[in-house]
Amino acid sequence: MKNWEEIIKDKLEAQETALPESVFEEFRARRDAAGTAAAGESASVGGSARKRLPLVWALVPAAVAAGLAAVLFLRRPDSPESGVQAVPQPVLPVADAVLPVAEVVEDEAVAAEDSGAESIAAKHESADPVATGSAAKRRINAAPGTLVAQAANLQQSQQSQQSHESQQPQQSQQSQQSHESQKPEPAETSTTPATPTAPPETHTTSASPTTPAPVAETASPSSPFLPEGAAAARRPVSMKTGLAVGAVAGGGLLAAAATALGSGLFGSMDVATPIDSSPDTLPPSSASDPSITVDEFPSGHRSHFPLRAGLSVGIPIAERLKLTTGLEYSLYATTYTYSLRGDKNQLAHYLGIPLRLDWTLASNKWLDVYLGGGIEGDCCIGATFDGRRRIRREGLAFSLLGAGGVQFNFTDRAGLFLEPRLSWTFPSDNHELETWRTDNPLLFSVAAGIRFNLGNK
Amino acid sequence: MDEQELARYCSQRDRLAENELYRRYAVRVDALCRRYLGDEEDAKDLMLETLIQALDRIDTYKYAGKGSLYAWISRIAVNKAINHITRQRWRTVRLDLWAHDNIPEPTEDEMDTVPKEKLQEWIAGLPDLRRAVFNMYCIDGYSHKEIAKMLGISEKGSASVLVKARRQLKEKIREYLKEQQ
Repeated sequence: MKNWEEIIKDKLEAQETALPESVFEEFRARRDAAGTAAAGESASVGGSARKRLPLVWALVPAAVAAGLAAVLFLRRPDSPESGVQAVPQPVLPVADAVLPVAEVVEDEAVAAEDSGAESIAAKHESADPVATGSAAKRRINAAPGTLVAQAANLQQSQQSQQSHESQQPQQSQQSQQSHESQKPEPAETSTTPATPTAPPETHTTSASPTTPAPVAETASPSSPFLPEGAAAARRPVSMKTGLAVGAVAGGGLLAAAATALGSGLFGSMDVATPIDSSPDTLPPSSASDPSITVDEFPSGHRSHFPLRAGLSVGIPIAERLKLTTGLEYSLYATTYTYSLRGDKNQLAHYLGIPLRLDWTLASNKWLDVYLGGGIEGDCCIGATFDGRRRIRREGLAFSLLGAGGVQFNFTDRAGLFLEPRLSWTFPSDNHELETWRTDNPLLFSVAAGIRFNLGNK
Repeated sequence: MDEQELARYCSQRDRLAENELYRRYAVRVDALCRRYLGDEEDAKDLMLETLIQALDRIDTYKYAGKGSLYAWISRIAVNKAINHITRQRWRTVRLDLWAHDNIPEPTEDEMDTVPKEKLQEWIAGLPDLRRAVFNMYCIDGYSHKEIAKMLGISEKGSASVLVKARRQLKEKIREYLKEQQ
């Protein structure tokens, strides 16, 4: 009596179905093509349709990655503080030539309304029309002055009449009133806001107005009353936006797309504050503290190459493609030099989670050689200064990764990996700690660790 | 023409001898490849590669009696299939979370009701390593020692994988028999 396995064997070894003629033709074609060449170790079962990817194609992504890395290295943001920068508007040359002080006109209008004083011609004359900087500043601070412009026109007309009739008696009367009464008196009859008065210090000068105050003096830059050419004389506000573009190609697969980043993309995690706020050699991250004097800041710093180790997991996706993730620990050391207290060390501990696609170039029972690319997120889990003082930690940091390495499989499920990698950290305003990575966003490092392979068993 | 003469003519690059070799052994080698790989296309390619390699190395064949030529060719096919399986180490893993250990073995009468195509389908559905060990041990008669050496695993591991393969096939056969009833 046969057992069930023997029955299976007999059934499977029974008369098989004949193969189609096309298979024989394919056999003949392959045999003729191969000739007397030995088949040797076939690359894969798939034959011509599924031949192993030539090694040269695996080098193409590596070359692309190297080229992109060179571009990233050479192309740095124009300013470390990337962001929107508003350029101050230049001064209008037309307005500067004719404009008296608009703000002073306003102030004088209010004072005149209260005190009931008269001409501001003396003040106009005393004002320096050539002081472009102050004029520009006053113009920026002045309100869009349609009413003020009207008041200025009315003043000009009044001044021109009064100055011709009785100039000196009015000036003496004005000076007496200004000395006697310090408080401004409310205006009794005032149809316009502008009945300006001259302060005592400006009273001695001539009060005859030389030029009328044009409307453009107090108008906004976009006012339709501006003379022609003023708009053309203005330069547009330039905006600079830092661009951060990066891409990593590896293992025949682009692991990440290029992105454009603005400043402040990543949120900050102010988890800890300095424990000891004594002014004795505080770290540079306390620069925002106003109680710290300039003498306590370091004169320089020196960042040391980071150390990395971690646990990694490889999850297969296809025959030669796998997803690699895990936990990685990084140690960044920075030495700050103080003029009085010498060198102080800062140690920053990071924990990161990489996410990478790896392409296996070659493998056997004991050794795997691979190439990959992806992205990694790091978080500072702790930082100390001078060995004893905890300092504020920074927020999350993201990096693009490109890696190639070898893995020594000491079991079917676990192996020791050693991989040189190239990473580029996204620029961010949240990096308070100065480390090797902030000084060198494009970082070459070597990582080692243990990787567990999930796969068929 | 016996196997020895066939091999001799094939070593002289006789096209008719090569065609005869294909006619005699292609179907059986294809069936063997399908048992190991579980995929028809992969099996066809593996069969063609096996025959071509056998013709290239026909000079190394030593006649050892009737059937020795097929045994020699099938050994080449098994080696190629094992290489293919070991390269594909990252297939999905069957966790066997709901495995039943006490599944009765099907009787001879019950096995007579199971068609050959179903057996091929169930064997093809096994994970790669289980399929390879089951074929090598139960169908092709390899020992656990030989299996361990060829697959790069331990003998204990080979036996363990065989138990899992048997359990999985018995589950399939029992389900089929239950549906037929």
